[in-house]
Amino acid sequence: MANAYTAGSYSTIKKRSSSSRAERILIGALAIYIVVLAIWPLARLFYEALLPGRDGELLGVLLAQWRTPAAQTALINTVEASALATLVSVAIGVVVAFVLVLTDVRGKAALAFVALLPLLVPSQITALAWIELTSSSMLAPLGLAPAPGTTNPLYSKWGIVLVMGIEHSTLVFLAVQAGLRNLPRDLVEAARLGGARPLRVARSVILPMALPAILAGAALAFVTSIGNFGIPALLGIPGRYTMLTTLIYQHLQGFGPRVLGEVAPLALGLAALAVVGLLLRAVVVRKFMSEAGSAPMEPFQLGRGRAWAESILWIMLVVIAVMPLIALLAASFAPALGVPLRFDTVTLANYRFALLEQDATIRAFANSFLLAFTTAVMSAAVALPLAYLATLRRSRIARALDLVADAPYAVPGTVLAIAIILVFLPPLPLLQVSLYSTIGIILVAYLARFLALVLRPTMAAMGLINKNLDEAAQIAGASILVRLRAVVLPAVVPSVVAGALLIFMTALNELTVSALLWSTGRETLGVVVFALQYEGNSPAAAAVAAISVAVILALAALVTTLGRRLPEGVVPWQA
Amino acid sequence: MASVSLEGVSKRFKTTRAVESISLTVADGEFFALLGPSGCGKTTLLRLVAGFETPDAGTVRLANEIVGAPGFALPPEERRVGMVFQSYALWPHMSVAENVAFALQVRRVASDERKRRVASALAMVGLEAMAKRRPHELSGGQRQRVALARCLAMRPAIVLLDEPLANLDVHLREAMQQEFARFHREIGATFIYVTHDQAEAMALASRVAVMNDGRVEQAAAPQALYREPATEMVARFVGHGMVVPVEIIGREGPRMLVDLWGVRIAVRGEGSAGEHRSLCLHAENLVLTSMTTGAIQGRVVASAYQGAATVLTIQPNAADAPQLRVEYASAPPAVGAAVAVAVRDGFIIRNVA
Repeated sequence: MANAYTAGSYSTIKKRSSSSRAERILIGALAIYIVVLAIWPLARLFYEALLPGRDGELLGVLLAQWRTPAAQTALINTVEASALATLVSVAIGVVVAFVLVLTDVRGKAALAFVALLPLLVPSQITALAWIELTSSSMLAPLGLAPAPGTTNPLYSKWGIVLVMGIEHSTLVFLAVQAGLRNLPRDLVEAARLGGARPLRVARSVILPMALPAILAGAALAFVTSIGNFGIPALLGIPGRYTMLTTLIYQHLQGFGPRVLGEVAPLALGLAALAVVGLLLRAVVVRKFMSEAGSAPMEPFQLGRGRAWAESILWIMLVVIAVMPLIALLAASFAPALGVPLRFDTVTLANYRFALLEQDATIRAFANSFLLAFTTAVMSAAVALPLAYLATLRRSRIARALDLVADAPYAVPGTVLAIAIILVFLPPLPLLQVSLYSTIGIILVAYLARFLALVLRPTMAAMGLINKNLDEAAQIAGASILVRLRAVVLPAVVPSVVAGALLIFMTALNELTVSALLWSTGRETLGVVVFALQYEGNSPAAAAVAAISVAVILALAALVTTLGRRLPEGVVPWQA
Repeated sequence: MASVSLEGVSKRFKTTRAVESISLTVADGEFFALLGPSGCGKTTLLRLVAGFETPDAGTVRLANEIVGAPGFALPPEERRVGMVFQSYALWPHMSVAENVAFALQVRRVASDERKRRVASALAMVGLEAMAKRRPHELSGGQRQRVALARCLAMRPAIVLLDEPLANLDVHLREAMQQEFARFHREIGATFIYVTHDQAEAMALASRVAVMNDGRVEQAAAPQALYREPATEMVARFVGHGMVVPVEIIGREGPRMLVDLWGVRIAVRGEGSAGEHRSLCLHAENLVLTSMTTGAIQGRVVASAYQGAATVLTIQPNAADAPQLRVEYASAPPAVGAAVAVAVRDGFIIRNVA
């Protein structure tokens, strides 16, 4: 019978397989992208720092640099300040995590949000906010202002320790919170049944079990501290307390790219410190941290002490997280540095200046938006096929590339910037044009640094896809690009978008990398805040900073609403 | 010509040999089943035909063209096969109609033609009303039919089915089996059907390959597998056969005379006198009898009521004897009762035990 469904006759198949060729080309392109951006610059830095000296001495360049008092002081300062800051972070992070997870205080969601604010605010803005908080214009109305002429007490080692400690406390808080949530519930309950009171249980049972999480958080806080630039720049440079990041910056500012070779060993030392910290963290995580635990524990009842605990916690969090931002906002409305802020002196002049009048600032907004947007989009476009090849196609090359892509994000930003300059200072082959002193070099550095931010959530989401969905598309005749667009992307789009938004948020106010790569006309928002503060225009710096924070908070809200549709862990601040 | 042929195909995963030296030919338009327990390699074989795996040895041909050989595998998107997955694999962000239309869109079929073919494919499986729904709004059986429609819309010459009914309940399974048989008749494509359910394979396929541990034990029509199993595994796996040890006495007319635990019975098969061989028995050829000689003595150890008959499990008195299953229509003897079983027919298994 005539039948519309009679099977089509089997046509001769083309012998040459264009589809597997397309896949190989894709892997090749991705490999080139990551090698050029991630592997080559860091390898080049390694090589440059280990070169023999001018007289042929083995590791001469390295030894020459590290014999100088400046380098040694910077190293000691870096380790000292970071260690102390880590202690501050641990103190704050552990207390907040313990109270939030283990007790029955009310308003946990609000408390958690405030505790997470330091994570969202870039370090140079945090530093600026604290400077405003302790400046005379803020303290004068309270009668606390020191005699005119005294330097702000924050411009010192202890200022750096305090502000860095607060800024990174969130990292410890998140790590300890996760660790406490994974505690085996029965061990704690056994202790309570044994008659131990809550504080005793916390001290003898919970604290030891949470120690790996605390250590892991502390290691992360330490690594982030040694790589911090914004706070040592704004507080340490005026206070003559030099850390490795600011030392490298000052070398480059003072002498330009000529001294790259001398700066390389400093960057290598910084990288080595970071690697030690990260290895320590990896060991702790792998050996001591168990996987997901059982159901959440019953929180401890605080009884009459609860109101006290809530008040203390609120006061502490508001002082360290909220008040500086309020001070920042207030300072942005002040007419000039040192003028006390009263209702009749409030002015929008700083905002007008920042947004409409000063060319550099307007350019910086445009530059940063352009850089952040381009980095976000390009990184997402790279992350999708890379995650697909690594997960669903089980490509060994892709999986290796995934591991390597973490490196530019894990190393301190200063190290990456130096590595990028080393590679991209000479003119590009074929084009015969150098990217140095163009916005292109900042873009390249951002592309290298932030890929990990979108790659991780994309990999997580990709791991949840059933392989059959991709295979069914293959059966339907779809080539790899068609499958990526029609079947894979729709399945992971929330994670990709969240990752892209994270990149945008982070790149918009980034300072550590762009401080070393910017040039006139190619400033970023982070650089402008730094520069305005440096030249004494604190109120204008505060205005730009306030706008930046507003944008970040809006984006964070956006990411959080997306967060409900995402696999666990994609949104860093969502438990 | 849409035949499928495998010659000496082997596939290894890490240290396990999933498939070992398989040679099979599926004729154009045949309904062929790959039957076996979990881990026997049947799904691996199907995936080699589909192009998801590359053989470590041997060749895979579709319509006499080599598509798979060591180091070379034409990707699935360039083979013109259709596949129905056990998990259905419907794309969740597309509607039913979009799922079915996808392959046609990829091949740039014109819009009118595409709509027509989608509509008829959905009509064929009875789901025209569901065209705009999303997969998560459908039941398991409906999803299975969409998966089938998606496959049929492509008009493939070869259709691969990977345990498509395993996730459905028993009643739905029987209805869908009839649907598969109907589609095969109507569209005339070559079907390769993977299943662990021997009843399903026997009912649907014109030839079945019984697989075990990566090898083909026997590939033949269902009747041959049932009546003349080539190995003990086939005897046991297909049709709930039982395997017992016998000694061949000699030929008697068209049949062979064998000795089973001291009882002489006439069975089918080949052999020489004095050989010790395995015999395949089926429940319908075993009958409870009151005779004390010429029948296997034993006792009832279990009794399972099945409506039309009761299946009795009987432990013969002979030492180390495997249990026998007998069907009994009326009120059965009690568990523990001594009974005698007469053997009406059997088959001497070809491979030496």
